Amino acid sequence: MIPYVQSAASQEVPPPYNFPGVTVHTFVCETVIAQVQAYCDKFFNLGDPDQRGFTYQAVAAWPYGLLMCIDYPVMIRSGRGRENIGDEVPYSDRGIVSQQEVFISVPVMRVATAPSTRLTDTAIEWAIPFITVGNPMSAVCGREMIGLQKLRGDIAFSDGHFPDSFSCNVRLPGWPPQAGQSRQMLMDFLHVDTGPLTPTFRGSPRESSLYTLFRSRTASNGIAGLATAFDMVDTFSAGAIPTTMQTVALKQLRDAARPDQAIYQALVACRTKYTNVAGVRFYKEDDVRVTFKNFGGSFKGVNSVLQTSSLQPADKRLANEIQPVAAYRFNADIDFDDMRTLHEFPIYDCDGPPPPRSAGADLSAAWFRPWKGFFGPRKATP
Amino acid sequence: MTAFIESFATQQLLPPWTATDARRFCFVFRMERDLIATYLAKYFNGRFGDCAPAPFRYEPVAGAQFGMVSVTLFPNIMSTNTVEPHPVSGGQIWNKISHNEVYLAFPAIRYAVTPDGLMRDPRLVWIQPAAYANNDTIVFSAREIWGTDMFLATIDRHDTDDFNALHLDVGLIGMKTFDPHAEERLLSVMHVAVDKVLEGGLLPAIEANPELSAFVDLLFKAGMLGGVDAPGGADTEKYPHHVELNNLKQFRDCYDMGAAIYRAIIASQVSHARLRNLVLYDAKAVDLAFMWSDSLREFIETILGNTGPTDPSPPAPHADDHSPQPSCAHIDWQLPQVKLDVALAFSFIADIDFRVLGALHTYGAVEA
Repeated sequence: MIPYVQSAASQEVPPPYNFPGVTVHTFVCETVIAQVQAYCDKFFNLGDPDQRGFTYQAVAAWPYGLLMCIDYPVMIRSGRGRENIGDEVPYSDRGIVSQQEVFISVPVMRVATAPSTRLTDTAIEWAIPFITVGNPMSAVCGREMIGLQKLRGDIAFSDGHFPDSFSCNVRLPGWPPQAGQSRQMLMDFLHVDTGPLTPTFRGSPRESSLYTLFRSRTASNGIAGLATAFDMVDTFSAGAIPTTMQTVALKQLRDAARPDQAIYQALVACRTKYTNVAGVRFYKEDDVRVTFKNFGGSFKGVNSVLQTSSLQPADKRLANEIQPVAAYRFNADIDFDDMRTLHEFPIYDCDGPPPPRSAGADLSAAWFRPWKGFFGPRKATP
Repeated sequence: MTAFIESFATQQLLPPWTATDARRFCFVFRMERDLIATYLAKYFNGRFGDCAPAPFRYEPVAGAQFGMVSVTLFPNIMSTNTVEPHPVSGGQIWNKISHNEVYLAFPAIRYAVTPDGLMRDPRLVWIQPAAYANNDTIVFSAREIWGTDMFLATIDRHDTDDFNALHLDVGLIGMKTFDPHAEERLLSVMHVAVDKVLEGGLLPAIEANPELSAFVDLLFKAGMLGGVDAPGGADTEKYPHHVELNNLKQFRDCYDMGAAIYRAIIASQVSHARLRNLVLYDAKAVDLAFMWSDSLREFIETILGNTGPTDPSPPAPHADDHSPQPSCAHIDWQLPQVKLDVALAFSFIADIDFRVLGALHTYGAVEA
């Protein structure tokens, strides 16, 4: 084991975290299955399929992604393990942090290639092709510890034009499309505007809207109850209201002398668990306007998976609109925990010999993990 | 070779890079040998669990110990890396970033250690225990590529009519007092103000503080005082005119946050060209202070050696600056301060080149 030396100047707080009283604004958007598959192939399906033992696939039966705008009023470190900070005050006793985060998540399926593990190592996970956060330490922790490629952005949540509406504006550092000699600057990247919460004076939702399910008090209460009682609601609501999101990300580090080369590549999973889900309210999806400005290379992260509207090509160079198929908000407590390395990819010929790390794999599906100890080779009798 | 998979989030400043017309202010202050030795032992020397020790040993330089707070205003920084494909930007090098940077550094001697335990080949290197920048791209590049322990900070430079003057403040999100109910604030970290130019060259400063002589010699060797007559008439042209930085590049294991998946000593090189507008300041008139809070306490105690504030009030220009609420974008100055006695202060304008020399040692590696 190589110990990590906590810097005396560091302000980072490593996970796991507990976020009570979170407000989540969710916009369900159509994805382009071929693009999701291309994303999987680029970031997850690295190397030889037989050697890694799995293949990530787009979930063709659920061609939707979630654009989530989350306001975390309180972040508390919830870890109980060793913190490796000597006699310093434990992280959880230092105080609370708040942050706002915007990300896109799409479901992907990890399919084990070996018949013997096809059932136990196959799992639905969530890829996050775009994520930005306001708190700089959150960005550092996300990037360096769990492989989420968090960009640090200026995020502003506010009430929209109408009562009980929502507005979000994200600015990221970037260069204008025709960069030329321009300097980097903070530029508008994402804007979300909703109408008021349903029922609204601005007309009825479409009959095909998800809202038609939830306008039934019985169904609405049932789903809220299920969200609290079972993790299985993920299946029940087909991911529309996640209670447990198992995220997967490619954690990779650049070589210092050859930055186009990697010194470490691994798939890392984390669990985001939503509890005490309450206050599920819908926006009328036709009232929602999601606009991504196309500058620098940032839009490629979004463009790779989400279905954009049919703007004229001339306009599409500057901005892309996305029309959600459902939009809602809810309150919840969130636990972010259970970080683990699913699979480490072999590294060849980097600058300096790589650490002798076995190409570890911890691919068991979440449902199988409690049962795992009952299977496999028997322990030797003393 | 294993290719790094580029994405929209990895548009970084790839080394080597060059900065034109950078303006650097340097403030030299006295440090304690024991604290430097402890720092080097913690971060660079030793076996570290079941890992073999690095084949290097870092020791404080001989004589009196000095460190340097450096403030650099980068109006234009760009990658000169023409080898990498820069695929995200369609082959275009992402460049032209302007930002401000503050770091604290001290010199150390790196010895190569033979298998017999003999120390040989001493080499002067610089260590940066802390660095701050106000640009995300720079911070992510420094941390993730060449291993500088850099933090994203609010860096406010206050304009003055005097070109030679500087008033600059650094703020960082943190806690005044650790408490489970405490809320983060944009806390003041450092304040520096200087405007009194010193006439008469370096000799008066060295005569006033003879212990500075060796440190000034190091600065000449680093090419940071080009254009100034070296004390004793030394021929500065033969000096290498660059600085070697050694950083500890490390990343946590996501499962065990106390363990590292990668840990290496990275050597990089900074050199100055077209050095001009060198200005020496009256060191006694420099107002340089780090601000005391629980978030910064460990850093101040272990690097600066102060166990408490030297002044219960904030710097005079910020006596009335309050941060009304936790999420306020204004720096909260209602903190006690730790004043540093500056021994030497100077500034210059130069073009700065930065390149990574390589990984000197990767911990846990199977040696070839």
